[in-house]
Amino acid sequence: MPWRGGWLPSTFFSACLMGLLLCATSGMATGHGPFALIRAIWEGSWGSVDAAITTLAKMTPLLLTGLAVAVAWRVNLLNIGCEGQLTLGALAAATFALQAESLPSWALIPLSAAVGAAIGALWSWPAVALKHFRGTHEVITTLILNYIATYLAEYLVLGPLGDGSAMGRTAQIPSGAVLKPVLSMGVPVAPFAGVLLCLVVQAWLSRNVWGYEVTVVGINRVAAETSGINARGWERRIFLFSGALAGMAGAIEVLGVHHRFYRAFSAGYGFDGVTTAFLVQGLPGMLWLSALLMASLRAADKWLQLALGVSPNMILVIQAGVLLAAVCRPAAVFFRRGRVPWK
Amino acid sequence: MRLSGGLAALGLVVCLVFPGAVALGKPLRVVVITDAAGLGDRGFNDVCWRGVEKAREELGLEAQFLQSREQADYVSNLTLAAKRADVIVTLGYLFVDAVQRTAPRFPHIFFVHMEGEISGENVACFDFKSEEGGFLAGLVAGVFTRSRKIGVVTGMDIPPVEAYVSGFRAGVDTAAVRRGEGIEVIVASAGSFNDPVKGKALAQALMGKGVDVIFRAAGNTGVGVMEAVKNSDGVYLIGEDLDQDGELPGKILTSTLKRLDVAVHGALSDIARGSFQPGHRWMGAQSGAVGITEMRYTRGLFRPEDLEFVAMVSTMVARGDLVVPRTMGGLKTFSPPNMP
Repeated sequence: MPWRGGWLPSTFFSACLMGLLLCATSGMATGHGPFALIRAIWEGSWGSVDAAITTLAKMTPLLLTGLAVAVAWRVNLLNIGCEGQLTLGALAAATFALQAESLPSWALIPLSAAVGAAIGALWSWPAVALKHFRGTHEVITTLILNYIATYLAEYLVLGPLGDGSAMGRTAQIPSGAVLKPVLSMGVPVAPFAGVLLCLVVQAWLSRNVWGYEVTVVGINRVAAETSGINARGWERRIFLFSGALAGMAGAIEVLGVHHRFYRAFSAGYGFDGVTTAFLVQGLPGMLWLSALLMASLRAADKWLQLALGVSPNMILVIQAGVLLAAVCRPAAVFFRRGRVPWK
Repeated sequence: MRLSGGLAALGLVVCLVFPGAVALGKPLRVVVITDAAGLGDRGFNDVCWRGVEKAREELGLEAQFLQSREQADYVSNLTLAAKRADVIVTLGYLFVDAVQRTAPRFPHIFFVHMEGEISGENVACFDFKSEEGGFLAGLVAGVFTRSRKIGVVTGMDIPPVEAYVSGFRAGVDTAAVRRGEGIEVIVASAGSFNDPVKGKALAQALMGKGVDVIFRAAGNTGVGVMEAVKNSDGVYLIGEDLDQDGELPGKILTSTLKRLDVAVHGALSDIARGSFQPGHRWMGAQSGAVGITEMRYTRGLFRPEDLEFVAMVSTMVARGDLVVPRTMGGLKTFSPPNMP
């Protein structure tokens, strides 16, 4: 059941606390002192202009995949297929940008992103269709679709859509399709647009009749149907929207960061989206907070190595600890507000 | 005003022309950047790091290493490293684009790159004739195999791996001509250099097809291949890039040698001495940088005349009398030499 007014910060801050605790103990265990790790993570993610830009750039896919998981969770669907939707969305956007390079920049960029989103939505459709017609659980189907997407993309990029090299990648997209950073310093524009999108979705969900219907479907499907809401229709639309968001995440990675598609494209952004969403209990309006945290952790791993000689896998451990703290909501034990939101 | 401007410009020129001048007096700071596999792959990255460590002991330089979690990090890792190092060593073909983009922005930093060609006054890059090592390994596998089926597990099908595989196939073909019977080579690609689980699964699948020798050309993925071979009787492994024979004594027929450490060490010494040589170089059997091991645990498994045959062909390759194909296209036109 989605979030309904429990004390949100309890989840996020208990997770942060858990993360800090992990950093402190492992810092002490490795002989760097309790604050060395925390400091290194801070310096590595926000300590310099370059670091801050890298962190911001990593926020974009997390915001979008996080939002994808969060909206699907609104109607009680768990979309863990973001990885595949993102991969195919990225490939589609790169291919489209290469084919339509004669278009002017103002049309090419949004159209490429839209193509990515459309393919992402298309790739999420089988999951929701199977759920409705055969009762298959969407966790299973989206997970399997991830594998199909990964290998399909690999096949396509090694064959018909690749640049002919053995590297398994497309050619570089035309410069007109590149999402250029704002300001001379190279601050990317996409994360801010992503935050805005999250806020718009939040407003839509909470201040609009359709958003209200979606929320009702999520809280009590039977009651929603009884009162004349087309639950199935909403589930389908929301799930396709979720897939579209993940596809767009991939498209924006191509347009803004890599400027091409290559195989093994997603570095776990689809799954980190699940973490991002659940850190703030699937509340779209708060995603910026969790995306900020996750992006900072991801961006800090290089500095962790250079400054302390700590393996980048340490970041994965911290991420896992943070998620664990978020899903078991230790603070809820003390505050006793409502039930644990998913059974 | 004009004078100071001129001086500043002169200073800039000095820095550009004599990049080494900045680092004089202090120990050379080296940062080694690897892909997601990192150190501990018992192969490519580890061999390179060995060269760095040797240089560290001899030359007293500071060395750090930086593992990249995703390809999106390559450029930002290079930039970060460039700000606190004098020399950056990048390991592997996947870095070519990123180094090509980053190196011109840091003209006072030396870049040493393994595998792939990058232009630039501050870049030295090395390529290895992997096909020659692969060829000799193929020869060993070809004279050894009893089931006349040989497997290869590769990481990603990038040019250096293609070189390994085409060389290997050429070697097997040469052995087949000598034996007068056909030998089948089955190649399976894991699509990643960092997926030991898949490596193990592929190796087991190959064994299911009756393969009795497996050549790993898969980076960290190959650790899984080794695991699979360890637990099955009658199946032997051929290692890659460094002497792995001792890891499973008697089970690893031989290992191809790619002396990346020699190249890394040489480049670092040059820089320390102030005689950096930019450009692209090929290292092969002729310069002693490529070959196979002594086979110290497995000699007993072979007939003496087979060992003689392998040794003879080795010298031919080292003398440059035998050109090994580097690509699949080249393999098609390769005709095995007729040996007595």
